[in-house]
Amino acid sequence: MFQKLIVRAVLAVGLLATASAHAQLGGKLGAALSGILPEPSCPTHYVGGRAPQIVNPKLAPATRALCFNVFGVMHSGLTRTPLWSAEHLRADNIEAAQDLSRENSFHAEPRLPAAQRAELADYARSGFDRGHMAPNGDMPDRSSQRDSFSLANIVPQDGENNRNTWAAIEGEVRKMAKREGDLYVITGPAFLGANLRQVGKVLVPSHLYKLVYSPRQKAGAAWFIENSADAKPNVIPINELERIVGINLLPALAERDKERMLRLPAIRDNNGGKRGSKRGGRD
Amino acid sequence: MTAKKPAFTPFENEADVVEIGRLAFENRLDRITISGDLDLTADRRGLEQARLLHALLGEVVASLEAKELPEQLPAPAVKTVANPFG
Repeated sequence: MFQKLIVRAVLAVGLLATASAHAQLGGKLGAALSGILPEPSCPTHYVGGRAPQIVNPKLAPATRALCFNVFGVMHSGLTRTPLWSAEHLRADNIEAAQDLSRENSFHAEPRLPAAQRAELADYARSGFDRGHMAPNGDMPDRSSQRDSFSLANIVPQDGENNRNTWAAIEGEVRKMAKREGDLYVITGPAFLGANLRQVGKVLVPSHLYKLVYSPRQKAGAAWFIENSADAKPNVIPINELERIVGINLLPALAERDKERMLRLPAIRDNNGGKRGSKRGGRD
Repeated sequence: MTAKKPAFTPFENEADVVEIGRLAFENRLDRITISGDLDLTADRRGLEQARLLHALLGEVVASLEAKELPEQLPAPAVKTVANPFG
């Protein structure tokens, strides 16, 4: 049923100007459309130029693709969070910050309708960190650093988790990108279980994932971790992560290619002696 | 090499972020979150960063001193809702 919807949507786009398609189709079809049509500058962030495809139809309503210079987001108006943030990290783009200091600011995403987006007030007094999906520490320039503070790239994240284990994972990914030359990275939340927590109008993910794919090794794997203080990350194959989150994250790869596991470094969090993050602290 | 004073008004908004090296200050209405680490090196850069850190913390202290403070913050308001994807 959902597949049919997409086929019809694609046909519809063939007939209508893309700009008017949203307005004219509206509702579920519009949602499916925005879910499968990333804006033109986005493909560079994805393996084979192909953005992830939502498989679980419950995730599709009110989704909207947003492109930033160095990362692409699929935003959900149901959760008011990203479903994923995707980056193509290149070794030559990861430089330690030289500035004495930098200013940034968290902000609501102006391209999203007010009825679907998170506001700063949703997170206020929530007890949760504003956890970056595409990390500030990955951003190669000031403009992209500012982009990363859009709430379209943020989920409510347990503070201990964010500042320790998660920061260590982010640091390891940057080190890997330097070793591998380049890496595709997709980061996002998972919403599992009968009930979820909610702060303001924003749903709190039960888990978080970070998928890493090395074009050099033609292999990938993901960290999957509960969104809680003492959680330890599990390393899982791409296809297992895809089943868990209900999204085909790397549609450019054949199923058998998704079984080729990339070796991911062990994570000891930032309280555990070894400093995982060489830059940017937490994100 | 004098760092200009950054825009950071403690406890007044949820937006301001200042990073000094790898040390990040995040402004919240109910807290200032400081995370990461920083070497204050014995050179001009270290002095500028130390001054900035000092100024920021000074503002945080002044702001707290000017407030009527509860003994401790109330627990955060977190709801439980049915999972729309469950």
